[in-house]
Amino acid sequence: MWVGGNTDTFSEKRFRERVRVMSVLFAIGYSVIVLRLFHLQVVRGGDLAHLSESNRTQVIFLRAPRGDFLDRKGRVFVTNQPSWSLVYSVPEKSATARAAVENTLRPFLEPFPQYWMKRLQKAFESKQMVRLVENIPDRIAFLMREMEMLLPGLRVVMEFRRGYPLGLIAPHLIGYLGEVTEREIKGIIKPGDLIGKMGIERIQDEKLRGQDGGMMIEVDSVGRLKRVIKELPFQKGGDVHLTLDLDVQKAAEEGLQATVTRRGAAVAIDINTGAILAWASAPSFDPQGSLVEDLKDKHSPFLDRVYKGAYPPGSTFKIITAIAGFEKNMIRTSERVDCIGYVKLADSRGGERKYKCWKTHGSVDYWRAMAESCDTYFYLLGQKIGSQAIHEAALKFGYGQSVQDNLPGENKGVAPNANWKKKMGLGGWSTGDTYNMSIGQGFVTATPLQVAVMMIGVATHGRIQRPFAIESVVDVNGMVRFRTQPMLWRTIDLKDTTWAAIDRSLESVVTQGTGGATRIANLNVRGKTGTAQNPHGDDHAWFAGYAGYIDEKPSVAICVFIENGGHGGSVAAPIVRKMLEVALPPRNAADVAPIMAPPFPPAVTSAPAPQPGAPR
Amino acid sequence: MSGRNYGAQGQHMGLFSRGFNIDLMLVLATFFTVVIGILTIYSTDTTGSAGYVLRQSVAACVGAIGLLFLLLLPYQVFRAYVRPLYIFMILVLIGVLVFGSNLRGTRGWFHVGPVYIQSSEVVKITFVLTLAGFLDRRIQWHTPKSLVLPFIAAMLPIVLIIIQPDFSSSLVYFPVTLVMFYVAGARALHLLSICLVGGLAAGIPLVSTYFSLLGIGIKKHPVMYFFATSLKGGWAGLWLFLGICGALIITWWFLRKMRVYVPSLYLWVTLGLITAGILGAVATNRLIKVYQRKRLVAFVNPELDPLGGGYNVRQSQIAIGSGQILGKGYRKGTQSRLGFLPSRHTDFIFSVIGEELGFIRAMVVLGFYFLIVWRGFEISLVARDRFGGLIASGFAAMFAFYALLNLGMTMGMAPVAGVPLPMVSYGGSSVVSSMFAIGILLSIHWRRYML
Repeated sequence: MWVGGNTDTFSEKRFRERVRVMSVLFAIGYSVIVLRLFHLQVVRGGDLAHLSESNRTQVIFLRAPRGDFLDRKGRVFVTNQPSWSLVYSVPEKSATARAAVENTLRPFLEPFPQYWMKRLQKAFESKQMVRLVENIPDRIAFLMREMEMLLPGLRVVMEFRRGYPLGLIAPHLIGYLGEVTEREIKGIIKPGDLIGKMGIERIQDEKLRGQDGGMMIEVDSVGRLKRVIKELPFQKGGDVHLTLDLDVQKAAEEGLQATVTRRGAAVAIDINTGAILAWASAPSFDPQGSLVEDLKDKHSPFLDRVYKGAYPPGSTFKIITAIAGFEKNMIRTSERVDCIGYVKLADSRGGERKYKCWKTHGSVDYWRAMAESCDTYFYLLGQKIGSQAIHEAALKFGYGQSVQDNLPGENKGVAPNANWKKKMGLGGWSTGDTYNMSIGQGFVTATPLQVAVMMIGVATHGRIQRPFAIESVVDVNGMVRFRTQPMLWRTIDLKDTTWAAIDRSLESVVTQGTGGATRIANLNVRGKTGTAQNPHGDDHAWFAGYAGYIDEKPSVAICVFIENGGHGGSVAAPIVRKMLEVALPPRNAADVAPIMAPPFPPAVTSAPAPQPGAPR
Repeated sequence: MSGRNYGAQGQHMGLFSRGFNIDLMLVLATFFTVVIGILTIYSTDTTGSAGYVLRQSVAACVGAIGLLFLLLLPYQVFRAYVRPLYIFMILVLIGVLVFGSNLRGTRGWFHVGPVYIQSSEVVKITFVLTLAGFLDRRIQWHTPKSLVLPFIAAMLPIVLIIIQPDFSSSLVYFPVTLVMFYVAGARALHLLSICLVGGLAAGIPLVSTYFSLLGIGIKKHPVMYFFATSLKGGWAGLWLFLGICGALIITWWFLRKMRVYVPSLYLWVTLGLITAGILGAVATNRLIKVYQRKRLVAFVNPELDPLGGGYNVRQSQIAIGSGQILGKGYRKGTQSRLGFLPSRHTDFIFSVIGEELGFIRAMVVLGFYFLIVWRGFEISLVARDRFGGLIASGFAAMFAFYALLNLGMTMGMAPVAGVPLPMVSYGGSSVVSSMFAIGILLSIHWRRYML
């Protein structure tokens, strides 16, 4: 009962009622709070504890360096070097507008390609960490370090990038790295990782890739490091031991660079094992540079011409024609053919067509025909034995088939016959087609690798080891994670007399014929030149052959191909010579001493360069 | 009230005479709340300088002295001086606008020697006392007119606080005013319409903020776009307002033609409400800062502004939840110590308690707080006069709304309004004034049987 002031009974009664209503309302509201507390701490406690944990901890990946590449003599030519990259991830708190970030960075990133802006856009869209610029010089990196304060989310990180201490060697074979695309993410590969995009970097990516380490650190709300909770060291990836011999490889690459067109391919293979000693394709690209520019190059620097480019093999194919002839007993080596510079053939419309030889040889037997690459002889030989026989011989040596069936994108080339032509919708087979085929023109195409493999077959009398470039992959603990076992790819059964005759005629190419440029004092070199006409421009220059020390079995097979390069004998053969000189160096001083004969036979050296019907 | 005798039982003048008449429960709850607050503030201090703890402790001592003084002072004194008190309060609020210092964007602080005194905290006490004094005299509530004068008297200090601009501090005055009017016997219908106008005034700027946060998408819908822009005021708003009024008048006139007689009072009340709402909206739009509106919207739909207003609440919920049943341990909360929790020693101090002490101990803290409010309402029931009852229910309502708003905010159930948890949150003025309020409550309780 109110005793002082206003003491209205009715008012007092209502007052009490209403205070009671208010305290009940409060109790209801408060119990909702209590229930909510229970819900948060007891029901959802586990989840939220997890969230608070991920709030406070941050995992920093320590990218493991990839494995090195070594040549057969243990020389490291692809390794890792630290470099600065600029990465950006939109911070969870207070993101700066994209335009602001872009404007702040622009003056500093002037020297870099413009597409970092696109990547920045990607960072804002995907909310993931994105590399803006790679491989930035120290000066800019330190400037950017200061920018980190101004632009949360921006970070300069040190990463291992590929380094090439001996210069760029065999980029087509090694390949290059690139940032992983969304489709490629799987397993341990995280967004932002670099993976092999081409070559062995791609094929052996898994073994080359090390195990990334990591640091779990405690950070405060603005991401400052408080302490390291635990650390897991990274493990470097496995080293790839290649079969390449860097000396031969360099000779090949320098040789290709020195040609007129600077386009072509060179491959050298150890005959006994199939180990690839050199694998060069030109033009080349710089895996460290902006690959975008290279992509625009119309000469396709990314095309590995060794096995992805198929070209008319030209006169190197005469070996197949000759083999087919010997096997059918249709060559008598002493039988002579009169070369008047061309062969006339009636065409389907009743007219006549001249099939030219590159010069008028006069009366030639088999040996001279091979040594001097007389087309007339082989036109008539081809006509005699028929295209099917040549086709079958070609198949035996791997033409038209895959040599490296584990490599994607290999060009199989074409070993044509009548059926093939019909299937391709090119009409019926004519004698003219046979003429062209017998000198490696027309429908025949082959990769430099296939031509080299043919030479292995000839050198070994039909025992071809499958070519390989990776000897082994050895991880940091010395465990061999991968090793290539030399493997017999195919055997070719021919008569001994056939082998002997081919061998002898290829020797005469070098000693007396168009391949004189490859004559080396201490070596037995055999080979065949080729100068292939093609509808796209100047002739392709070929030289394919094999060599060994005198009185020993041949040990190295080589094929050099120069796209639109000119004469096989004068353009391709000198490169082969340089490669052989380093592949099979003189064994002792005595061998080096006198170089007697001039390397170039007069017929070839005097030949003017661009001339229709040059040596084939 | 059965079981309890409100009648005069005799005089108990001594503090500790017969029956120990001090509300011990309230004293203990207050004591523990203040101590827990200081301990938690110590926990949030990662620098080791203990500056906050020291200042809070000093404030608590000052508050305790004031509490004792107000306990001994017969609270009826205030009734005699309601008008001077009210004038003093208004002068303080005007004075702070003129002589006050700017702190955290608010011109609401008196700089006295080494300390800053928050005017809105000082006014809290006088506001309840003077409003209780005004309402004590008013018993008849038949017409809306009887409501108007005290209501205007109550609004004046609130407006002055909003002008500072300290919207957060003014927030709690609204419910306190409503509760005091309600218990004083004002008609629920009248209070309801006040709520309606207030809601309209606060709601319209919120809706427009909501639309502005929705962003570009809305421009594709012409009608929605029109509403969104017109809500911001200006000519489009005027047309919208006139359109609605016109539609209402035409509808009413049409109904009349159809011989459906609707008393014109309804029409005028509706039009008045809309006008008041729109005017209030324009005013609020000017006074509430953009970030505050965004926070309120973020409460409704946190997805709209996840990096802004939503962030604090999310981190707070993570902090509380991650404490689980037993807590992470005193001074071991990662959310608070690593800076994920915003305002961890002030508005979000309960999140630290939840994180470090866990559910069981946080419930004890909630229990103390419940006790304070519950005792407040109980004291208003046992008060010896209407004046004391009104004061007590005013303070109880104040503590209740502080608690509900603050706790609700930390758990994501109320907007981030920037309201402290009295006596726990760091803030000298708040601790002192809250303890003053407790002192007055104790005084009312102590004097319940006195004639």
